[in-house]
Amino acid sequence: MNSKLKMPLIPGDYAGLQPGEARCPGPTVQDIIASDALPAPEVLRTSNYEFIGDSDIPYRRYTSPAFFQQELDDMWPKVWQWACRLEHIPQVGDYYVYELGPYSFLIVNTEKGIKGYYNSCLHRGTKLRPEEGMGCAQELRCPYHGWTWTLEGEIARVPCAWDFPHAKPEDYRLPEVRVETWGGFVFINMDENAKPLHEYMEVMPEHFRNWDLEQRFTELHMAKVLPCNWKTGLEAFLESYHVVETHPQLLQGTGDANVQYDLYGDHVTRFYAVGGVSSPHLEQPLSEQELVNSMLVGDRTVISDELTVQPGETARIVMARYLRKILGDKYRVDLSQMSDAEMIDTIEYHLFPNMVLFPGVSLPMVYRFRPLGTDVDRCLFEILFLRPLAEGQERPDAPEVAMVAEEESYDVVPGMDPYLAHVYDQDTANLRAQQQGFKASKKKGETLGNYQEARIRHFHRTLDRYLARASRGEG
Amino acid sequence: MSQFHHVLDCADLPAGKSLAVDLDGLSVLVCNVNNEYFAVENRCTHQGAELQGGRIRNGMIACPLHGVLFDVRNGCGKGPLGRVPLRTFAVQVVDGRIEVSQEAAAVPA
Repeated sequence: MNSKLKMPLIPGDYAGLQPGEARCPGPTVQDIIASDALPAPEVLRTSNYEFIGDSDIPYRRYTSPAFFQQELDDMWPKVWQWACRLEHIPQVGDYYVYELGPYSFLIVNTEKGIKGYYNSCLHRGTKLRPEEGMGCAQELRCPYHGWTWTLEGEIARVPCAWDFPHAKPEDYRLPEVRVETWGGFVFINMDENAKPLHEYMEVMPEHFRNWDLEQRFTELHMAKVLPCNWKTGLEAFLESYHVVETHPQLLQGTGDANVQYDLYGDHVTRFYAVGGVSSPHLEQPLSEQELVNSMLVGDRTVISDELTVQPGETARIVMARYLRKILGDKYRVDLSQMSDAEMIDTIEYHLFPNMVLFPGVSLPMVYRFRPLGTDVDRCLFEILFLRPLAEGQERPDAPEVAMVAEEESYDVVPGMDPYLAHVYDQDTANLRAQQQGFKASKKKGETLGNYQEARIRHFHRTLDRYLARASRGEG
Repeated sequence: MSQFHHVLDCADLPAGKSLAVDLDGLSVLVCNVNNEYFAVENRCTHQGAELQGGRIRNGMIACPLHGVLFDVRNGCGKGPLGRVPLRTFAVQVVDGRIEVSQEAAAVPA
């Protein structure tokens, strides 16, 4: 293990290195996982970073209604975004209403496959279903005047049809949005000419080849309205640089400053945080046994032989073995071949624009950040826990979303681990002040770390590419 | 004292299903939510459609007409079209027989 690491306290010194070349002192993620007992899969044994600039990101991108409108006009209608899980619409007739800013869509399971419709009546515009969430129907009937469509989008009935000789059925099919699926998620794209989802996802289908998120069920689905722009919320979860200040309790057992950051193509970035090691920020690193003990928050009586680090073992090996058994038993799945890294590490992918997902077994979250209506200063933050579904097990009903009020702890959600709830509370407690600080600032933009905050810069670069394409008329 | 009437046998109502029964001239929908039984008025408070035939998921029945969701455990509706709750009826199960009374169901704590 590293002894006390010397880290400079004052910035502004390249120390003879090229921009983006500096790293936290101490072992890298790749150094650490090299001594695992069950080796990590190939996709975790690579890294992919490049320096892409160090200029400030203007605050107006988070606060300006005009910029927000540009996103609504030129970015959101061009991207693939996940609307719901297949488990939300398991049977023909099931539908899910998905909303994004002012947009609203009906995702419907039909005899002819999954269809996505613009959620607006072709008579006088009323939303066919008034709000987000699951439901089911035999046909889609507007509650205002009763215009009715089949699940497949054909017009079925119009009251007083004699008054509408000018409404030809072929012109009154429900307009569709493109739909594709991946990993048990239903994605939509408003752009009829968009490239296929798998192409849009770049390296992700390959990286997730052995992480089948379709064979998972949603154990928990919660949401909180955050008093900040959707990008402000998202970016709080794209870097681990904040751990040392925001989550000091996590430093024992998280390699926070030596997290690996990877940038791929336009749409995908990743961070890889190893568990079962001391933070480089700790003056006195924990012993391997202390690292194992720190994982067992609360009840020390469970420490038995299987939780004792034997000579030649690391805390990572012991913890991974223990979790393989505990979680394998709990979810009745075979985790015996799962690598140490997949069992205990925090591996997070971001798919542009607003999907964040963790393929790991012990922290199996998916996040989504969405603008709410046309308010630049508010967004909806959702957390889903996707647990392994045992072979042959009947899939439980997808849960309704548990809403957490701004002043409430995530702890109010039944089934939420209090330790993790506290971490999310710490994460989102800063966001109102940050959004307000953007507007209070004399300085015009935020300054990003070249390595640890590179995913945020990459995200803005891609956003700019979408906006620029639209302004060039390449729509 | 509330009077319970035998309306169905448990064997007639599998989990996730609902059936309308007549209770003194009133159409009442008996619902099985994970083998717990509940009864609500078989008439959507939105625009009066029969609820029978609506799919039940997570304890919520979807009205077949416009999709308004109601929690059959307490009658509460969801969303702008579900502002008026459904009337509920007390249910008891005696020896595999489902009995319903005119009294409102006790609201769970």
